[in-house]
Amino acid sequence: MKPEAAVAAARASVALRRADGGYSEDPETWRIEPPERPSTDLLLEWAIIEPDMDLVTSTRRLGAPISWVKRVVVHLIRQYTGQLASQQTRVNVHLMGRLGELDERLADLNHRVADLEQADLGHRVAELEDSGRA
Amino acid sequence: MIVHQILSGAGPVDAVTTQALVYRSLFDEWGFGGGEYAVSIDPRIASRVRPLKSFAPGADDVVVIHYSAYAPKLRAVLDLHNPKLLVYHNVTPARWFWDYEPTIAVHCSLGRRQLPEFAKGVDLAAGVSAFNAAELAAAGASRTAVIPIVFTRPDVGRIDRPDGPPTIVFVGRLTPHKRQDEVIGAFALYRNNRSPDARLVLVGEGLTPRYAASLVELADRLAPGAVTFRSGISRDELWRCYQEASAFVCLSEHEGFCIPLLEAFHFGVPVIGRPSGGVVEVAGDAAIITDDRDLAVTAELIHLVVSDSELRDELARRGQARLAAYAADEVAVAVRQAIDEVAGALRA
Repeated sequence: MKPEAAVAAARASVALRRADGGYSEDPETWRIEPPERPSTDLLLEWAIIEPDMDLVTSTRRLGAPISWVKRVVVHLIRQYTGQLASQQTRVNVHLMGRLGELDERLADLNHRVADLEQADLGHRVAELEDSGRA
Repeated sequence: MIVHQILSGAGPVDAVTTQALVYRSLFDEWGFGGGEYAVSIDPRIASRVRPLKSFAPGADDVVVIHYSAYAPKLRAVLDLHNPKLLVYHNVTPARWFWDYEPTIAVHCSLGRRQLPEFAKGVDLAAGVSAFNAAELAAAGASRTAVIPIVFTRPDVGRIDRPDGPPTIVFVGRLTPHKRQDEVIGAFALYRNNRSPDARLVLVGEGLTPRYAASLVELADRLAPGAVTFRSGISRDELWRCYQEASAFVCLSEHEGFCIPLLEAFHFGVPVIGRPSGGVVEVAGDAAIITDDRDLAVTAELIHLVVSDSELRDELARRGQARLAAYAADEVAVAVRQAIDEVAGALRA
C-alpha cells in the first residue's frame, strides 16, 4: 500500500470493525482531568500578602535561638520586605479586580445570549404555527 | 567577519544550544570569529558559552539571536546598532499550560508577547521552519527567511528488528500539548483490537511530577504493564529505543519543528503524525499525517505500518530522502545566505 492510501484504508477498516462490534471503547472517558483550579474566593484571600511572623521558625536542634535570629533579621529588613509585599499586593488586587469585571461581563453576555436564543426559539415556533395554520 | 550568537539559556543537551554550536562549526569553517553568550549557562557547557554580561561586540560584528523563551535580559541586545539575525525556535502557546503549570504558562505568554519586539528589532528574522517564519511575519517582521534545523545523523543506524511484539514509540517532553494521553489512548485501542502483546515506550521528562503521574495512571488504567516511561536516558539508550520501534506516533497539537521525526526517519521507523505546526513540512511525504480525531483510525494506521511491509519500506525510503533537506551542507547554504544578507544590510 502507498502511504497516501493509508488513512482511507484505516478509516474503512475501522468502519468494518465497528460494524462487527470492534473499537467499541469510548476514548472520551480517557481524558486526563486537569487539577482543580483555586476558587475566586481563595484567590482573593491569597491576593493580599500579610506575612505572619509566627511562620519564621527553625526545626533544627537549638531551633529557638535560630528562630530568634531569623526574626531579628526579618524585623531589620521589614522596610524592604514591606515594599515587596505592597508592590505584589497592588498587582494582585488589580488583577483580581480585572478578573471580577470579566466574570461580570461574561455572566452578562451569557444572559444576553440566552435571551436572544429564547427569543429566536419563540420566533421560530410562531413561524411554524403560522405555516401549520396556512 | 565576526559573528556572535546569543541564547537565553545554554545546556549540553538543549536543542537550541546544539544548533548554535552547529552554526559555530560552520562559522569556523568559513573563518568567522566570535563566540556564544547566554543569560543562564549549565556548568557542563561553561567552557563553550560565555555569560551575556561579558558580551561586548565590535561595531560591525553580526549578532545572531536564538529565540526560544521569554528572555527579558536579551532585550538589551536589540538596542545594539550591530547587524542582527533572529533565529526563532518557537514558543509554545500558553493555553496548554495554564491548568498544569501556571508559571510556565506565564513565561510562554510573555515569550510570545515579546516576540514582535524581536521580530521588528532585527535585520532579518528566520524561523527554523516555514511555520515559525509565518509566526515571525505575523509578529511584524519585515524580512523573514527559513533556516532549518541541522540534523546530525546518529553514528548508529537501523538494525534488523527481531520478531517480537510491536513496539510503539514517542519521544518528547511529557506535556499537555504533546498529547501523550492520546498516544496512550490510540495504543490502548490498537492493543485491544489488533495486537494484545504490543508495547508503548514514551521517552521524555515530565512537565511536572504531577502531570507525569497522571499519564502513568492513565497508562496503567488503559494498558496495564504495557507502557514504559523513560526519562534522563543517554543518547545511546535513545537510539536503542528507535532501533526497537515498530512505529513512531506523534499526536502533538503544537510543534515548532519536531526533531524526533527526523530521528525516526534516520532509523527507518514509520511515522504517524498529526498536521500541527511544523510537523507537515518537516515530515513532507515521508509520514502518514492525518487530522482524524478518531483514535481508532490512528490505531488502524499503527496496524497498517506494522503489518504492511510494502508501506513500511516505502515510508522508510521516503524518510531517508527527507533527511537530505536537513543535512549540514544543505542548511549551511541557508545560514550563509542569512548571515551575508544581514552583514550586507550594514554595508548598505
